[in-house]
Amino acid sequence: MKVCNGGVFVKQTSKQKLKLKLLPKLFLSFCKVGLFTFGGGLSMLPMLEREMVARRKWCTKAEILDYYAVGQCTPGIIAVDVSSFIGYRVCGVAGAVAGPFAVMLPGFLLMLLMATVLRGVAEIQLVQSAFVGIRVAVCALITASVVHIVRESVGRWWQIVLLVSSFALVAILGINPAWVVVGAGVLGLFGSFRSAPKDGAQP
Amino acid sequence: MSVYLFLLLEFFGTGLFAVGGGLATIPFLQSIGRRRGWYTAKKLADMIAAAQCVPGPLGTNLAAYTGLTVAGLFGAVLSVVSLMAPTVLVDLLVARLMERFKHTTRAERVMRVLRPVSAGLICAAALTLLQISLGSGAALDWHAPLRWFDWRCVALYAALLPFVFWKKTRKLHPLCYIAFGAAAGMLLGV
Repeated sequence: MKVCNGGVFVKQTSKQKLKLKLLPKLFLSFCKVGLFTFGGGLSMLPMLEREMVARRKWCTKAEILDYYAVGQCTPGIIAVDVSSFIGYRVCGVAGAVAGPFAVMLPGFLLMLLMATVLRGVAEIQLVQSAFVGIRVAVCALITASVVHIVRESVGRWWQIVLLVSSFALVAILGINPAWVVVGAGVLGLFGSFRSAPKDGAQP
Repeated sequence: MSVYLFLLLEFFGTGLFAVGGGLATIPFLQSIGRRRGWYTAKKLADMIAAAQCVPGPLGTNLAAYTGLTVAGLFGAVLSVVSLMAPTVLVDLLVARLMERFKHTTRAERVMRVLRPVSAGLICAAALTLLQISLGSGAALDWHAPLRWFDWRCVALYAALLPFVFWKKTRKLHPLCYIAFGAAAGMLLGV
């Protein structure tokens, strides 16, 4: 995690009240970002740049990248992290809540619409065939993302051990992933995993 | 009533423990489906496919669809809000403590462990998805595992793989792949 110096998170002062006026604009901007990104997470970046940096000039690209870095260290999905950090930067606490809500709202509504439509046509044979193909296409897309994620997260041999053991714990032993994450968190807190290769105990 | 309470708890937990992008929520959703019996793994695969067709973060889209399936419109709202709540709360805290957080290497050390673990969870979820999407739908028969695969799906998957990795085509809009998959599925009549 690399964080640039120089006030990534600007302290909120009394100016915050003035900034609240920006809340409707913030909401609309994030709705736009949510509407025009597919796949979420990292694919949001170009749209965020265009909207938040170029158009609104609310933050810089370097700051957004910092938010991504920090967001990767906090629980929850990255799109929510980044939008709440930008929201906080622009409108304080209200913005931190409004950002994630706005970014998911278009997808949420379209998802409801799609679910309703699908429920009506689910029995049609052609639709079922189409979905068999769509599932395969989605699998191919996910395979590419998974390879990317694995490459990003593994650098040392003990990290490979961790990856394989967490895979085995869930895929073979059927353990609830939450326990694996909690175990790994404890291991990270108290284990001494310096950047030098050391023992990779199981989580 | 209790369904709503369980939805809230399950998605709050997912928001708290899923580390990474929307894909990281899939192992948790699979686990929820298995434990609560709200939906089958196959139904989840369909929901993932549908969530990929809609713009916006995959994680919240999936939570919305899952909530809707389990408990209707209110369930959808509840699931998405519960998924986002822990994240937003922690982010608020982090944004305030940023100055201190920045100087500790502890968070970084924890992440060095959490990232590969989360990747392992995602791999496990992806394997389940592969089994569902490439299989014939029946339970896997270990005595004749090869017969269990639907070869048309395997062929389509193998044909698509080079494109999602090839430099020139991997940036293609995901909807292109989805549209192609739909067309191929209808043509092959699987």
